[in-house]
Amino acid sequence: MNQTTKTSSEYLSRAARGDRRAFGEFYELHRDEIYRYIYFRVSSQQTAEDLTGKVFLEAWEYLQRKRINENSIQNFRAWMFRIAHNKVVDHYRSRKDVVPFEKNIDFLSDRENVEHDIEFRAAADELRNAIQQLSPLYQQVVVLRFINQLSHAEVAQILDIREGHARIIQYRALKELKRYIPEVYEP
Amino acid sequence: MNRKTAHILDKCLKRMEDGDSLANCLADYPEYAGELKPLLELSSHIETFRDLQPAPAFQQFSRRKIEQQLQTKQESVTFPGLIRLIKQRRQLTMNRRFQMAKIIVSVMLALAVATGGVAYASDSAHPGDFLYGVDLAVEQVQERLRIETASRLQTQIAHAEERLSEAQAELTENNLENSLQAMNRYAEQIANAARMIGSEDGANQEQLRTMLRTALTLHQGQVDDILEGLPVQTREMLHTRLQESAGPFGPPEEAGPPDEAGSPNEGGAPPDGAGPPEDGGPNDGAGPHDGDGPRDGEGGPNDGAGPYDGGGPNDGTGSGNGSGNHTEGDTTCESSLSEEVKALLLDLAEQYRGYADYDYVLSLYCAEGSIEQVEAILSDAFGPQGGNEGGSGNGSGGGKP
Repeated sequence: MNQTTKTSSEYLSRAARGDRRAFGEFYELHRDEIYRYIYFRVSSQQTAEDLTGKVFLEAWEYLQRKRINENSIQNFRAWMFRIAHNKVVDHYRSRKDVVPFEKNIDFLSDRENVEHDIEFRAAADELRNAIQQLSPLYQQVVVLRFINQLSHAEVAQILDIREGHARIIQYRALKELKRYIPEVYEP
Repeated sequence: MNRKTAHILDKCLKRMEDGDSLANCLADYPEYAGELKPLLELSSHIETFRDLQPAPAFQQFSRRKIEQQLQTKQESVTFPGLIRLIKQRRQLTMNRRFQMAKIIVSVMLALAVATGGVAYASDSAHPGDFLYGVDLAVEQVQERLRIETASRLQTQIAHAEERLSEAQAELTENNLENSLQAMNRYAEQIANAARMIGSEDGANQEQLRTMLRTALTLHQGQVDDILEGLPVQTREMLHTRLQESAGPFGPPEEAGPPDEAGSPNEGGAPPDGAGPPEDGGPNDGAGPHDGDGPRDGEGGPNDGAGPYDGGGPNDGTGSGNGSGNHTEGDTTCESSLSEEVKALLLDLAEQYRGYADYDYVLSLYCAEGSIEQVEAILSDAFGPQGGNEGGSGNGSGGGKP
């Protein structure tokens, strides 16, 4: 178990006893990866932020309602991504499209980096649009593997599939994704 | 073939992750190079977004917001908890409390009518700060996302409590203007809650009404303190407004005259009887996954459950029934609207896109009864431009008339 995982597990153990500050630390550590996962699966930055908050609130509620042991807490990452996936599903079921607040947020950006940010965001949006052409399973594998950098074993755990299957899906998903953004990768 | 190609792809990905070059790996598998090259390039491209960050404002403020929401979940406004608490408190100071409750409810409604605002609140910035308006809008969106009315009311009450705390903190710092601003926000929040309740029917309305009254009673000690710290003239002005506008959500009996804004609440300890949401609370079992979703449980960590098991308790934020934000009252109201009014509401929703969607504008109209009033509320809340400077797409130019 690496240090971040150990620290996260400790924070969760404390959070399970009602320690909000510990959960805040846990949130700080894992906010961005959950955000990234959701970002590539919904249609706007604001929606991704909103759902990210909800994922953590749901995790907190679960921790308060259930007694969970240390061993269980150590698998928190798979658990968090599953909640995130469910929130994405909820989002599409409820068909809520929250219009982004980027205009306001732009005020907060370092002006020197705004241009770069805009280009980066545009490229991210393009990739996101392509990813969303894939089936939900393929989307999950692509995002979990290449954005969230999870291993095949972790992906398999989250999706409840075998590792070998995860590997095959990775290959098929990349092949299909290539169809939607071919121009970027021509030699 | 697929399996073998997938395996080689994976090997190359691993080698590249460890620092080897794409060319080296392809050279080792020349018969697969044509197929693998674009896939490996694609994976490299995707990986450039590994460090994608949320917006700066989200990074900066969201943790605080989350922690506050956790606190809210732990400490406030479950309906049974409130009822239990108010019973305990009434045993201590029943007569005085009841009298003060009438005053406070009336004061708040008077304030609300006077300001005519919509519920908005902030917890990331303070009154007077540049970001205050942004955070208020964010909170309001958050409220609109609460489908279930009781849950939405809880959120509104929690936000109102934040305003109250801000008002008191500003008063302590002798920032009267900011304190008054926060109090106005508080009043608007309460007014918005009252309007929302007004659009409910029957038994549901009665329960929500009791819930709001109870919360207001719990706020009263803090409100007393704040009112005492405001200039006498302001207090008298509020009193006058109070007499004019107790409204349907005031106390069940006529409000008596204010007793010089009352005295501080000696029993104003935090609600020690309040705990985590209780079974049977207003959110229980009201969510979209009851019995019809792919989930088969709550799926805690490492419980061996499938991929759809990760969800914790339903938070009532999804609908799953395609009903959007409409309350039953709104649906009835909407069916009686003329096409012209609907078009005007759509225009307003477009004009305030990002801040107020059609459902929300509709709910305001159903509560207020006039387009002008809805416009005034939206303008108060979000400014006359509605935050949609790019134009509404309907020829109106995006600005408010």
